[in-house]
Amino acid sequence: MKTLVAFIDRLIPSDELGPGAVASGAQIYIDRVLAGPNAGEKASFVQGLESVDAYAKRVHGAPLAELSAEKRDHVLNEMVDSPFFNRARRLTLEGMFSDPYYGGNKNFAGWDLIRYPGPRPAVAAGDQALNVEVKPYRVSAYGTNYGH
Amino acid sequence: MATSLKPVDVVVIGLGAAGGVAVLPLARAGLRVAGIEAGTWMDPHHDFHADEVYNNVRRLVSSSPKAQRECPTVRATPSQQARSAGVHPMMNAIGGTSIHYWAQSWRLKPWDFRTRSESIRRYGPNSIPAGSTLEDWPLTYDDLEPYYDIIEQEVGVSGKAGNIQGRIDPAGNVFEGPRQREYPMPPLRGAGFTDHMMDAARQLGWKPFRPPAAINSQPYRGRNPCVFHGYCSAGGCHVGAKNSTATTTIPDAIRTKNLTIFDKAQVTRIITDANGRTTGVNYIRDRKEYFQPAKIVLLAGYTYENSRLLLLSKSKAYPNGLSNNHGQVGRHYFGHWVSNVSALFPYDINVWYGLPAQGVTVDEWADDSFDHAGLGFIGGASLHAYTERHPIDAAAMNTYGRAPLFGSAWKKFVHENAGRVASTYLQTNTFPYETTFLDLDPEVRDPLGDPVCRITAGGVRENEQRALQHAQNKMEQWFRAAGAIEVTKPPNNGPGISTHAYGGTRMGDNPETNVVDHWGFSHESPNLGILGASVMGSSGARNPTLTLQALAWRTADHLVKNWKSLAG
Repeated sequence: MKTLVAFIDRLIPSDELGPGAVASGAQIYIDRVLAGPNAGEKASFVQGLESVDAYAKRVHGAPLAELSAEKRDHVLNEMVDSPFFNRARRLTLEGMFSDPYYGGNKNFAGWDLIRYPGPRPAVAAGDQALNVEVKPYRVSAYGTNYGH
Repeated sequence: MATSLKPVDVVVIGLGAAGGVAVLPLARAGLRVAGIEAGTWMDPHHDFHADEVYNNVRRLVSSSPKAQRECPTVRATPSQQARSAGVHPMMNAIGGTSIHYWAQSWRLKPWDFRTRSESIRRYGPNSIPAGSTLEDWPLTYDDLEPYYDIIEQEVGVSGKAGNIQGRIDPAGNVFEGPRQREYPMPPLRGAGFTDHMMDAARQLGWKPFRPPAAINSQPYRGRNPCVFHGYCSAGGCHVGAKNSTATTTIPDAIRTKNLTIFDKAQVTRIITDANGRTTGVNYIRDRKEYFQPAKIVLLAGYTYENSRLLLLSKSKAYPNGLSNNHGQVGRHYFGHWVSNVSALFPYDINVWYGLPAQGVTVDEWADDSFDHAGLGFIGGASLHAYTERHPIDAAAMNTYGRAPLFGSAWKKFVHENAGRVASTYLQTNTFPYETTFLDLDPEVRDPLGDPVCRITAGGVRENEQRALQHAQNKMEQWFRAAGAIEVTKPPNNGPGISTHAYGGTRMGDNPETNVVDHWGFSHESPNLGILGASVMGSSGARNPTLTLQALAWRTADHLVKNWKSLAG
């Protein structure tokens, strides 16, 4: 989990544009997915994280979680074309931009980042005009009383 | 030993888009119908959600665990080892794929029914793609028109006519064949983006229009209109505005009291007697095996399952599979050649909400709408720009080399651009070939021990590839006219497993090359009918559902009118 957090923290960092993947809880989504519907890929995913750590130790002398942000960025850059990077990035996007019901996208930080105004019960024609700012509707599709 | 049940008049295997409409004319005529469906009812309140993970990542409305355990294998050519196709597009549920589909409800063009002879007439015999097994359909557009009309009314289709009995209206599709009357509902409203694309197409001198959809644009027969909430694709409609057979023709058939539904029941074999007549079906429900006798069997599974079930149903009369004594089951199969040309705009296009059927379509570059002399292909593709974009998909956008794939620079890029990407759907006129077919996989089996369907997809076919490239270039031209700053045209080497799967039990007058006759009944086993896109011998440049539903109703109507001779 430490390596995963260190990894996705650089994929989508917290900055002046708002919370990143870790602050939004994407790691909670990934953890639940790998324990549940995607349990079949957990072993290969963990192996991928281990190989990231092995690379970090070999090149920078310490596991990913102990490296500076700059050095972690270097590690990510080196593996940007690898299947593991692609898969880890995909799961992080799912965590950050899915309905908060699944554990990520805390306080709708993901949807605010891309300016997605949220699922709403009905959409008026004016909400589909070109170039309008649609007022965000910050409600999960499962209401407010979800939680695991 | 299977428990034998009380005989019925008609067994329908599969209550999806095709079987789900066929039951209605049968039940209305007073026939006792057993509908056998591997899935069950879906509940709009519990099963349908405005949730991308649920609908699009986990595919919980468009795929069932049972279907996945029977997932076909796929290979391009016989020299390759077939591998699992990954996701089976068959949906086991009452309503089937019509629950989650885009609901685009097109009539094919008159040309689609006579592509072979019309192409030879206009461009010469060499225009027919080499290796294709294309035949003219055994019926014309005019033959099917009354049934298109019935489905549009019974299921409920919104749209704008472009040709009513020869009277052309440029507000509709001017390229369509003549219709007897207007759609029962006006088209779905446009969005800012689709209206903008419509203007751009008109500037190019094209004739864009709002396409037809089995989605209510206004209250229809007591059902709700669309609320445009943006979770239509691969999702069920929580307000019942998407006119699946589960909310339209199946409930209407149940009200006649002549339809009995056996849900969670998996048909394993179609049974025949020594004379080759079909006597009923075996199915498994709650791990018990039953035999349901019937005077008529209508096979209405998904395209891959129709061929598989016939090939599995071997008997003395049919040693190579039911209705396969001419070796045609599985032949003339093809997946639809389709493409998504996407574009980036320099301003917010606001397509988050809406639905894929809320769009604008151009038909100039489809079918035989334009002169193909010297182009090296026949057919073309319809171009369709639409709304509905989900947040994960939007964040996973192409960065067009303008930003890295992670970090603060990526965040800044998606903050600005995630709401500026448009998707399109291009559907190509696709034909069957000698190299494209279905059979039983020699190695991979389902949990019952039966082989799964194996798809030999055929690889690149030059005609379709050229037609699609031509259409992609037209789509780019359209996007550029609308102000797009980046356009992506993905390479296309042909479909593998497909949500638009055709053939395998093709309809035609010649029993040497076709499984069913022009009414949809087997050439070999006269009381077996087959419904679905598996009977279609070419795709048209548009979604198949309305056509396969019109054909299914026509087959059922023929059965009702000729009950005595067909039922024996």
